[in-house]
Amino acid sequence: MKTQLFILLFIVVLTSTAAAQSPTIAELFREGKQLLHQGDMQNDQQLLMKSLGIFERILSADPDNQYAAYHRAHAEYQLALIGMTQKNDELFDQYVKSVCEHLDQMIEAKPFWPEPQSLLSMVYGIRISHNWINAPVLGPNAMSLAKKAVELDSTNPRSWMMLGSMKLNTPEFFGGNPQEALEAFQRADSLFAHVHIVDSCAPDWGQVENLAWLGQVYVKRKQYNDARTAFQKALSIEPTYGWVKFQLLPKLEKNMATQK
Amino acid sequence: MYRVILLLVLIVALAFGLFGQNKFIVRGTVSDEEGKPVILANVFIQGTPDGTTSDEHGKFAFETVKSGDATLIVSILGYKRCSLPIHLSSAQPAIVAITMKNEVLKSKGVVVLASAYSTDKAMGSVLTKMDILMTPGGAADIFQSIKTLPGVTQVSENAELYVRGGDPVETVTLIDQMAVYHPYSYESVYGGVFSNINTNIINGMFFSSGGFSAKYGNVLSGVLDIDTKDEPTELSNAVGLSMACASLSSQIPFAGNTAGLRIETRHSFTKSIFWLNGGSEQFVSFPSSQDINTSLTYRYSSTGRIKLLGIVANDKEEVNVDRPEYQGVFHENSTKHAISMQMKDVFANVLFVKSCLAYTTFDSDWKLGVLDLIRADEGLQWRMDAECQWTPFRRLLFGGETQMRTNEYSGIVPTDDYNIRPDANYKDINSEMHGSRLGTYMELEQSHLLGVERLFASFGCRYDVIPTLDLQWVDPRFRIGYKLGENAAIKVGWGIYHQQPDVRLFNPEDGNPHLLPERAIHTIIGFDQKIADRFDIRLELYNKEYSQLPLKDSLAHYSSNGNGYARGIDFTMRCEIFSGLGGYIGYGYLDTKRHWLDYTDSSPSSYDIPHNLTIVLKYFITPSWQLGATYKYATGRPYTPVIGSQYYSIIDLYAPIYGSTNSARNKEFQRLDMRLTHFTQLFGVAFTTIYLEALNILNIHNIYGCTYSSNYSEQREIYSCFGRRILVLGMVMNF
Repeated sequence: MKTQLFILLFIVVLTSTAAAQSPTIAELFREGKQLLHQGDMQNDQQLLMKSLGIFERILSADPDNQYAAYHRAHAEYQLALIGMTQKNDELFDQYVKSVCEHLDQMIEAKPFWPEPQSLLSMVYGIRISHNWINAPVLGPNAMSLAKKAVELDSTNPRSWMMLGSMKLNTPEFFGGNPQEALEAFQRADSLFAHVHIVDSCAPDWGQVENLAWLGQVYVKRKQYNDARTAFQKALSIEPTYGWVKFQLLPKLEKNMATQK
Repeated sequence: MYRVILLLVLIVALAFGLFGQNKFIVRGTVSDEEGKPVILANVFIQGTPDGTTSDEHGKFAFETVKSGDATLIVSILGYKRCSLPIHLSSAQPAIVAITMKNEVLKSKGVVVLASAYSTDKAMGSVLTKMDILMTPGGAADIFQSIKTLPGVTQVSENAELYVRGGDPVETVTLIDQMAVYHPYSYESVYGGVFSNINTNIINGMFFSSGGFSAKYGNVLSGVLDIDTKDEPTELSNAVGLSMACASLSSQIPFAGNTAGLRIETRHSFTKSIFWLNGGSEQFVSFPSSQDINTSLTYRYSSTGRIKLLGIVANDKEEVNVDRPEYQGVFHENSTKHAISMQMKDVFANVLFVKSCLAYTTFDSDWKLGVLDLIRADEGLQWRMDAECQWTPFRRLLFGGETQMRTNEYSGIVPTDDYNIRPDANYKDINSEMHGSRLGTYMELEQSHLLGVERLFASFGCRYDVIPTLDLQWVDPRFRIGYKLGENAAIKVGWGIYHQQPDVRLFNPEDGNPHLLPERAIHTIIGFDQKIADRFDIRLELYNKEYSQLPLKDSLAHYSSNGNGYARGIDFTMRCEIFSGLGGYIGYGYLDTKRHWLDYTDSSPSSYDIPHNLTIVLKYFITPSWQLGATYKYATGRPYTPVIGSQYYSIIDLYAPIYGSTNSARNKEFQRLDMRLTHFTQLFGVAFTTIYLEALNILNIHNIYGCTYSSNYSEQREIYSCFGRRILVLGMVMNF
């Protein structure tokens, strides 16, 4: 009986404390990552800004939380991307400046962590896309960051995805290589399939994005059926993925119909 | 016993339960300075993850377990991060109303300017840095690129800016607030050919062809205001090599990216291009120039910077000259130095202050026959510009400047301008003129004028005084505009502009120390519309009335009774025709006459070019290949013809008899430049741009000036050294 009472006391204390501390950092992480994922899939600025706010709040409580810093940078990158696609230079400039500063700080703090390096390579990539004048300085830096990220952890699927993206989007004479891009995306796809999430706060995004890139490589190679498989696989994982659902797949279907 | 334990458990549970429910509520609103809600601002208690984001009405509410004194943080990009002390108690929720301020005062106006072209979109972007670098025929030269804009008259291949019928000295060039009076290389009597400002150091620029603000003084026609880059954030180097130029540049950040050094050096050597393209027989010594642009910047706070900028340039050439009385060699060399220290900072988040102390020198030597003229220009200047934006709709600009200049002319000049032979009569000159000018200005910019959201205006006034010449003037200026919609606006500008006449005309021996400042009144009506994405048009009508211009006078050498006008229309259309192909068309119509200097009556000015047309097209064939073309057409330049001659047997020389001032006109100016650019990567790391530029590909002989046979019976045309068809192959490698 004594034992039962002590267990009861313990449960009450535990649940009460949990109630007092809600929401927990873990819950905030979950919510922030979910909003970030939805914002990315649906290209939704509001969701991304909400996600950004959550990770900033986590960093307010725990300034050294590298995962929160990473997700904050990822949200800023996605917001900059929206700024670029919407031709909103002010939005683009603000978030690019901020994400570069944050990623530089992270790389300085943890130089052997590949995630911020590969993300920074993507940020450089969109800066080049936004304005070609950045290519001379940022192009080689972007490629070397992407390569370094793979060297640091060859089992990280996002590093391979971003290397593939650099290889695909960089003209061949600057070091781009569609074949190597394909191999990188395939490698990333394989790693995503076998990835084992140890920490739920760690970055785990990229699988459907990688399939979208992989599909595009297949389109370039005129392997339309493979491309459709890749796009459909992406939609089977994430049915709301707007880029694939509303742009890449319909365009592919149209192309295939024209070919027939 | 068990009951006691059970009671204890319940008490503990109750205590923790109460503690668990002991949350404090924070709620409130976030708005901007205009009172509009700020959506999705991040609101949280410092040091905790407790918070939320504001909703579409700017409202927020959240619970926190923190009690007592706390700091509420509100942040969103674009606004200054806000910290607010609050007290959290269970008695009542903390209710706060937060007003967010714009993050950093940016140097963008609330008023969109007339006649302005800028890299700042807020001021009406037309010319981008990419345009400067990639404009075919522009040789990546800022002046050559600005010459493609309407309002800048195409008088010759030279780089000098002839703005709406004005003389090049009527346009001032400022670099980091420092006035630079000789920004050209290869300056001859026909003007300079290229700028010695390296495009790589340019961060942004503002060019106005009229109706500009009270910020700019002692200038009648135009302003080119250049900002150089601040500290670099990435280490990079570049090497450039072409048939005409070699360049080397480095940007080196240090001290944790709070400081940085930029070094840009160029050495031009034209022998190879004239050897390849012909024309080398014109030169005894081929034109060559060197320039070094260096800046050292230190960012001492998030908003404050100190920048040291140094520009050193020199050039020389020896050209065969064919004059009626003499065939000889024109020797030219010049050296320019400019050093400035600029400091800029934002105070109290509303006051942006820039201040610059600068020292410039210019030395040049011209020799031809008996002529041996040494010119020197030395200046010490200080300038301060401040912008205070205390509401989103209102901005106050104010500042002041002082310049001390010494102009020196010494050497030998021919007595008669038609005889420059080595044995010709000459006079020694050795004059040195000192002058200082003080200027101050204030301008108020206001949008939402009289409560009308679409109405904007600025009213400004400046006062200048030149104590040594006993000159002073007051220039009121205003601009008003109305937005016709999101993408269209109509603007009107009016202002009085004064400028000190050429300092040589104040010489008591052959000038008049009592000359008045030259005066121009600008009136501009403009309309611009963005028709679609990457498709915009701009139309402007302008009138510039000159008065108090120096005019030859039989009694006082010169009087201030000269006058003139320049009026016309400028039109620009910029568009992207389809993906990868874009460009712009600029057309300017100009009608200008002057009665000044030695003009006998009101005549077309030397820069009266009625029709100016520029078409610039650029096409990305593939992401790595770009083809561009620039076509320019301009009416021929007026000149005063020689209608006869008189023979002087004692010196065996014919003297020309001139016709009416500027009564003849050269044939029209036409030119087509093309450029093929290829982007590639060398050695796996170096981003490389390779270009083949064909200047004046149709080899149209555009006239630079004219000369005559020895008895003036036959007229011969002079062509610019750089006006022939020239092919240039070059590359720039960044690593």
